[in-house]
Amino acid sequence: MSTDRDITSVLRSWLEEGVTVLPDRVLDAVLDQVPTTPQRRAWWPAWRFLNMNTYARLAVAAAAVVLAAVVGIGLYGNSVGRQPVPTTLPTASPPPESNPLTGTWETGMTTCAEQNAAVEAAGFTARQMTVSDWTCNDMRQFTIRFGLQGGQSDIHSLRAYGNGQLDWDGSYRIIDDATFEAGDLGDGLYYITYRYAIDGDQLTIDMIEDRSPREGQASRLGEQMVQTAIYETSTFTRQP
Amino acid sequence: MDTDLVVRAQSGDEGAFASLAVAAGDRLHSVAHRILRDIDLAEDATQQALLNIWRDLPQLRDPARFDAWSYRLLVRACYAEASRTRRWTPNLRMLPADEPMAADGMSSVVDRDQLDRGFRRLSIDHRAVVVLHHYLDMPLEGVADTLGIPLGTVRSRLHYAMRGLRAALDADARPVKREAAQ
Repeated sequence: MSTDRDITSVLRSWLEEGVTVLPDRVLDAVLDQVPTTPQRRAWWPAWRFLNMNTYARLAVAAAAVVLAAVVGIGLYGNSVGRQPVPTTLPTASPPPESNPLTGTWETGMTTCAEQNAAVEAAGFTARQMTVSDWTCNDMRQFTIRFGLQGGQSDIHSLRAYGNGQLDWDGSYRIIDDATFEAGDLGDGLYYITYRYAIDGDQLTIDMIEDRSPREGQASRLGEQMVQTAIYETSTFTRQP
Repeated sequence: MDTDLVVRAQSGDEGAFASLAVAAGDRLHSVAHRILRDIDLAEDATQQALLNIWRDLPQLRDPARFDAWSYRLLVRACYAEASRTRRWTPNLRMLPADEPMAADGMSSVVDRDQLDRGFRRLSIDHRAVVVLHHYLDMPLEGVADTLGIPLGTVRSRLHYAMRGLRAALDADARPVKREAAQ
C-alpha cells in the first residue's frame, strides 16, 4: 500500500514533466484574433457596490437618482416622447418605422432577491450561477429603449440600461405580434428570441432562447442570466 | 504580474495585452497540458483562454488578481475542450526538445504510466484541483478562490483524486507482486 507521502512525491515529480513552453504559433494565432475580438465591458458594475460600505452605496445610489433626474429632465423636459438622439444627421433619413415596442419602457426598482428569483424561475441551477459568476445587483431599475439606429429604417436599436447606465447595446427585429429577436449591434445576427405581450402601458418580456455565439459555456450562461434578470425580473411600464 | 499592463489591457491596449499574453502564455499552457494530458487539447484550451482573457479583461475587478483570474478562465477553457468531441486516437505526438527528463523522485517508467492512467480516469474537476495544488503549489484556499468553489469542496476533490491515484498505483502494482511471489 502506498503512503500519502509516496503518492504526493511521485505525483509532484510526474507533474513536473511535460511541456512548459507555449508554441509561438499559438500565441501568434491569439494575437492575430485580438484586433477583431471586441472586449466585453462589465454589464454589472456589481463589484463597485460589493467593495463599498453601506454609506458609500447609499451615496452612489443617491447620486445615481440625482443624475437620472437631471438626465431625464434634459431629455424629456421639453420634448416628450423623443427618440434616442441619433448619431448621424437625420436630414435624408426616412421617417421612423414604428411598431408597438417602439419607445422607452422602465421597471420599478428591483432587488437582488427579485433578480435571483427570476433567474431561478427561468430554470438556472445554483451550480450554473456559480460557474458563470452570476452576480445580482440590488436596487436596480431597468430601462429598455426600442428605437432606430443611426436613422436607418431597417435597423432597429435596442438598448438596455441599469440605473441609467448602458448595459446592452444591440439591434432587434419584430418576428410577429408576440415575438422579437435581438443581437449585437449591426452584425445582422439576431441570436436571442423573446416573447412579449403588451397590455395597455405594461410590457411583459420572456426570453425564450439565447443562441449566443460567445465562446465558452460559462460566458453564454452568464449572458443568459443577465438577459433573464433584465427582462424577466419585472414588467415594464411605457414611459412618456 | 505587472498590474499596469493589466490596467492598460483592460482599457483596450492591444500592445499591453500582447505583453501579458507572452508573460502568461507559458504558465497557462503548462497548467492546461497537465490538466488535459493532451498537447493538442492543451494548445486549444490555452488559445481560447487567452482570447477569453482579452475579451473579459474589462470585467476583472482587481487587476492585482490577474494571475488567479486567468487560471480560472483557463480551467473553464479546459472544461470546454474536454467536453468537445472526444479524441480516441492515442496521443503519440513527439514531445518538444526542451522536455525535461524524468525527475529524480520518479521511481520508474511503470510508475509514470500507472499514474498517467490513474490521472486520466479523474474528472476535469478533480484534475484541476490536483494540478493547481500540487503543480503550482497553490494553497487550498487559493485553489478554492481560483475555481470559485468552497474550500470544503476543494478538500473533498483533492481527497478523492489522491485516493483514485493511490488506487491506480496500488492496483497496477499488485500483479507484479503476485508474479514475484510465485
